[in-house]
Amino acid sequence: MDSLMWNLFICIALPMALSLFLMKGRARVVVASLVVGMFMCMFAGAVNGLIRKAIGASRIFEITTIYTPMTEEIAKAIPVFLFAVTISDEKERIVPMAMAVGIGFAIIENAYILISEMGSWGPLSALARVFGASLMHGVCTSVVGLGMSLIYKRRKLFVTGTLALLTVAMTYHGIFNALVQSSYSHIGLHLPIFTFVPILILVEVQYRKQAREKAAAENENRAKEAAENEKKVQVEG
Amino acid sequence: MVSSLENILTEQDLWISIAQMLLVTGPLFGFIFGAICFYRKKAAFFNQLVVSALGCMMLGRIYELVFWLTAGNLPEGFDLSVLGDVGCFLFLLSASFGQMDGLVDGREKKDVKYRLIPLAAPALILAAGVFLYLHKNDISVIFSDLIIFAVTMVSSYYNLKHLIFPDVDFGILKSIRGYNALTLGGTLSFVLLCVGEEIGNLTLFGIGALLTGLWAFAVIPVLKGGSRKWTL
Repeated sequence: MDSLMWNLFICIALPMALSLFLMKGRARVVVASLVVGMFMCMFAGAVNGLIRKAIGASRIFEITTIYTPMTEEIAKAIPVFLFAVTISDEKERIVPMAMAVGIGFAIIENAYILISEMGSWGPLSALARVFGASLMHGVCTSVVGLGMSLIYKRRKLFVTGTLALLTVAMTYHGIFNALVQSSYSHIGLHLPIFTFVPILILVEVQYRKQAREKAAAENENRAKEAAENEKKVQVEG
Repeated sequence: MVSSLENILTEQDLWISIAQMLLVTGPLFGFIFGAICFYRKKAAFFNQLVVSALGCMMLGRIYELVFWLTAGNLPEGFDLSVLGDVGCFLFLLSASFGQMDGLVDGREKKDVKYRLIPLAAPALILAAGVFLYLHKNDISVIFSDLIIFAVTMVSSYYNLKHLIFPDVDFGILKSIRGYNALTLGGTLSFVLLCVGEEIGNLTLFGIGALLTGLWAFAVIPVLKGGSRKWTL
């Protein structure tokens, strides 16, 4: 791993880590997860470097489309797994945390790629790259997190389910990497947008619908309680 | 995994090309149809896991297609499409073992034979693995197949077990016997596909691909028909 990556990590992660002392609650968890994601990017980078040495740098396409998706998805899944085991396995907490780990990972990866290939990225292509890769990393990790929240309490499902979810994330990551490095790179960069934005919209719509239904049910209960109280007052009167 | 996919555009028997097309379109159809039917809040988690299995297989096929389009060939031995197939059978295993088995098997002594007879399915796959090893005699070449065989052995055990196990309350098992029979057939045909590919036997590969593709097309409609009875 070269010093550029370390410098980027120090420049970005350290101030964010310092800002944790100013935060509370969910914001602190999200920012801490971003920092953890950045650290896991360093870890995955080191492992990928070893793989590159073992296989040979000339086979870079093969390395980035077969091996790096595996190391990166495993690296991102480790903190999510630890969070589920030690802190909380609730969907509402684990999914944003997992998404933040993925995005934190993407911050360092994108910064490294854009700086080390400075001349070859215009503002628009850099925007597409950053948006596409951040979304891909964020959602792949969220899928693993979402799955863990669903299967963690069902012990019989945990091992097979977690491994199955990891294979989904790795295969999708491999497809993205293969497309991004080819002449179909524009398809690759837009792939996460076309895949995940509709899903995110559907999930958001569902959440809002649920929230509306919950609020309506609460209002109904309150109205019933108020009516009952009124009756009691009348009877007592 | 299915490296012969690249033969679609080269000269070969028409039926093998059709089989390969089915292998790509089957999981795609199964996943989309299954997602429409079962990715809902009140749908059974068992069904959602089966749909996820098809989604995983679909991703594996897409990966192969993308790799072939971008690199011009497929790598020898292990690649990520293997993980797509492994994930598929892990999801099927999660459905059978994680979701269903606890409901149907009360661990009573009288059911021992129903736990032993299903070992025939993994034994068959193990025999295929041994045959492959003896034929190739190179563990690095058949490494990816061995991963798949290990998962399919466990998965097929539960499919056969739930096929022959006495039914429990509300006919939970009886209603999905069709699904279990079909999935057992699909698993064995996938093993046939792997063996055919590794030993370079196009006929075996074609039959395996054809049956696996047909399984992927049929499994969700059959599961839908069976699991509908759960709510009746």
